Amino acid sequence: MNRGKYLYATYKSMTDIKPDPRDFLPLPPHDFQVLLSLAAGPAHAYGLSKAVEAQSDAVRLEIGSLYRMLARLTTLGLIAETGTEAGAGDGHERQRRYYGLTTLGRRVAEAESARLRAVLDLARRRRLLPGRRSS
Amino acid sequence: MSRVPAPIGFRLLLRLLPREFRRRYAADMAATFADRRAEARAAGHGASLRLWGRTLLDVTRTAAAERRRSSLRPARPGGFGARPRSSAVPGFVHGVGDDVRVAFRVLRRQPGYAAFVVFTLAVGLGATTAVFSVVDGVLLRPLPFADPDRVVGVWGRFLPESGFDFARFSLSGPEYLDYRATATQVEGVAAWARSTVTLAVGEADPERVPAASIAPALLDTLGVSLANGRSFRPDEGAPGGARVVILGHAFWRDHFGGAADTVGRTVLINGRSTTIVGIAPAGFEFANADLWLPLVIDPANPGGRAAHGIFAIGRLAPGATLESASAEMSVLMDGWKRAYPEVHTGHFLYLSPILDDLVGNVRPMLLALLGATGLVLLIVCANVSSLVLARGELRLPEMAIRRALGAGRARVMRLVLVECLLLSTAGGVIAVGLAAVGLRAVRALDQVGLPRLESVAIDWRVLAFAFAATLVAALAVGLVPAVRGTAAQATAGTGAGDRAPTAGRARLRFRRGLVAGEVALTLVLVIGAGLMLRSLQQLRHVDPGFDAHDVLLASLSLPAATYDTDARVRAFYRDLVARLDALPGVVRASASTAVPLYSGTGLWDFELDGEPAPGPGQPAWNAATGFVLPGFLETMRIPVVRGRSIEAADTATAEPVVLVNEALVRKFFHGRDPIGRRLRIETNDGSLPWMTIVGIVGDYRDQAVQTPAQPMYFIPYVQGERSAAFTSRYLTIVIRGTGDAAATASGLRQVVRDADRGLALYSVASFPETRRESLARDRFATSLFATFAAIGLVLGATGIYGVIAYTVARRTREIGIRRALGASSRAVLALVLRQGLVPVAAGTLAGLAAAWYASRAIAAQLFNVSPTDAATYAGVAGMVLIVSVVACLVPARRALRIAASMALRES
Repeated sequence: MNRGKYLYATYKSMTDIKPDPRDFLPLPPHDFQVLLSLAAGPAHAYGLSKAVEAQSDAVRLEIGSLYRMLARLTTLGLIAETGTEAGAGDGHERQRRYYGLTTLGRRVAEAESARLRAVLDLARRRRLLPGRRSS
Repeated sequence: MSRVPAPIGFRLLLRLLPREFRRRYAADMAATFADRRAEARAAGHGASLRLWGRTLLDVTRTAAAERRRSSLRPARPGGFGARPRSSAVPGFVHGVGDDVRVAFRVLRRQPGYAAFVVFTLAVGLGATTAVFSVVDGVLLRPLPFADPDRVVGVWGRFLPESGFDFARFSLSGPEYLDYRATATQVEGVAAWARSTVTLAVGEADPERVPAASIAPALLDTLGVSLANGRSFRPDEGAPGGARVVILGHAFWRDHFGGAADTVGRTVLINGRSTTIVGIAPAGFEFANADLWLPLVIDPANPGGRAAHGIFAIGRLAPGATLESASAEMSVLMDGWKRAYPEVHTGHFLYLSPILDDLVGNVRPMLLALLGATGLVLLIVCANVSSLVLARGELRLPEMAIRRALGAGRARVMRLVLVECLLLSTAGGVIAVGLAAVGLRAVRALDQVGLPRLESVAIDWRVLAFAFAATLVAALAVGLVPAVRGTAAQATAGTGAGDRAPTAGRARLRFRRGLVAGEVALTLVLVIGAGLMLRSLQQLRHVDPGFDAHDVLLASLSLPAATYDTDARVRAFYRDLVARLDALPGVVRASASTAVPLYSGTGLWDFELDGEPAPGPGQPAWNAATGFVLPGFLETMRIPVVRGRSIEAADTATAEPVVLVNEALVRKFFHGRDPIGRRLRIETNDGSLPWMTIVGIVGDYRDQAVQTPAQPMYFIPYVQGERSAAFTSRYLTIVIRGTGDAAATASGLRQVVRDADRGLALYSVASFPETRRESLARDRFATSLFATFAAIGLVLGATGIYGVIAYTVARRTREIGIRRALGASSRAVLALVLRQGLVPVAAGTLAGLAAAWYASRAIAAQLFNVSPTDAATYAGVAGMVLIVSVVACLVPARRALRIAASMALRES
């Protein structure tokens, strides 16, 4: 990932300057997949990883990478914990946290989608991609 | 979704993560991992393993990345790369993270090498960990009662001067009551006895259940409090007490579904209504019983002093030790010897820790196995060490550059060690997985012959052991290469100096030592396994003296409630055998109290007509006694070598007869003809009739395949009441069929059911199975030992080959020069062989000596094989020599093939 951009976005989110969604682009593919999944609603880590696996058949998020990504996206302010769900047992180990998109996260996902659409349009115009013209 | 708590392995893995990260996410990660595990479990065994593998890699990688990130952050203000030295971290630890990263990178570039080392270490550590977990569970872990170290068993010992020879025997009622009354150093002395009962719950079919009768105080002595209900009351251990029973926890769960209202219900035990008064706590185990009944001993009529049949335990009194209690016991025994010389000559009681009672007989075997895995681990370390060393030589230039750039020698050494630590940690983690799989396999075998197998598990103790072993392995593997690899001057390695043949003299010495060591270790291990294999082979070929093929066994016990007279019992068995004989597919059926390798036979004292009976203080005449129905010897194909067998004509009212075996004739008749002589069972008043010896039976292995025949005599079952005042309610039925054991078994069950619906047959088994059981432990130990030896041999052989071949290959240039100077290839080969085989010869000698010494440890497990069996020693040594010669010749010939000029050009 582009370290300069990452540092810049971190700096902005830590200094409360309202970040510009475009600062985060292009999003790393895995981050984008996570944001896409969460766009459907909050999920816990396990559900999230299953959803990501389902929507992109090659990707498999192992547990360490998964949480590392969650930590990073939280630091960047793109996602946030929305609550916890107590399991059948009441030990603190049984609690599962839910993560959801922040407003910023939603706007970053939108911006990335728009950027990708532009890329795809270009690819079609160059006849790299078959299919109908986009409206 | 099931919520399995995160296993300890995963929690340990999370420890790798930086603290801040862990604090935030560890709990959530554990929950997510539990979900994934449940998913993988549903998908099957392989999926579970794959999940572990992937998680391991991924969390390690994440941890490395996160730690790097968090260590970068404080560096930023001070400028690039500047790193303030934290005062909390001692100097020698500083920068270890960098070393780990460098090591990771280096190893990733050589995945083949890394994988080989990790795998080899995993095999060695895995075997050691698995066997340690068994040793820990069986020998080291405390028993499931309060303060188990203070519980002692009370045993009887018979020295040969008593006429018997038993290291560990049960007690008689008077012995028990006397000891209980006088002991002060041991309190809560409580008796117990094994039994098997027929139990019927409600309308269900009756079944045979292993049970134990225990004195009411016994549970208190063990310090066990029941999960439910109450313990036995003192009056329930006295004659006429209420019929009550305490159920084992697992039995309660299986038969009553763990219902809370079980206490107070009644069941039929041996045909009599019995009230359930208590449920034992989960995990409690005593006497391998499923349920416990009160042991009834009448103090007014405790039975004969020489009638041994109960066991006893006690608890050391506060302040007492095993020594003080034993001292008290020996004073007591001196008194007994004076008071009862006819019983207590060469016979006395003693105390032993209860853990010894349970596991004493498997301890040598387990320790030998642990030793074997230790040898495997040492061979593994030697192999890996030589690999690391060889690789270190290739990296001399790198090390030299590091030193030239200012790294101190300690720092470079640390780099090598960190690399080894990384490899051995990976190996250790895989080893724990291997051990877990291995344990599961061992538990799946039902014939291991190990007590306490259920308490064997991979827990923190085993993990701590694996961790320590991993650390030690890393040091063993890396220390010498670290020292040797960095000893060179900072300038060496950058130029051509390192290629000079003299540069590695010290390394060469070390390598020769390694060869010798590996040869010695391999020899010890393989010789041990060879001895055990030969022993097992001997056992397999023992002629047991009977033919058990196509013989089916089943036991039956008639309850006194319905079969109240001896005549009834006799009639039942007579009719049963007659009906079984008539079954289709049955060649012959009979029954006996003494079935070889199956029944325990009692020793009964006897007198011989015309011989003076042994007086007090002299060894009594005794032999194992069997009560047999007609046709028993024929069914088992035990030959009658002279005279006749027991026949149907030997009825209860006919002339009393007896058969003796050859061992008895040898021991008591000293070459005189026993046929026609008379023998009777000894009693105080000589009231039993004389029995005429009418036949001599061939010897057979009665107790175990390993032990030779003991003196025995056989009394017709129907004459038992008259000749021995004894009619056994318990008989073992033997049926020789024409082949289909399942059909015979179902025919047998039908006949018994038709005869009496209230009877339960138990342990219906074909004979080969029972014979296998008697060999189970030997086979288990031997196959494990052989497995370790096979691993050791393969590793040892590759290691020896690798090291020798490597040293010879390094001499390619020298060989070329010798050829160029006119040496014949034969002379060169002779030189290489001579030099290569010197360390092998030294190792062989050391190994033979060590094996000669160490084989004593397994001597007790060997049957008909001397621990210094010359053939085994020679065979194994020869094998190692052949491997070594091949290891010398193959690379030497290759070196010779390279033309002299090419070899010279190499420089």
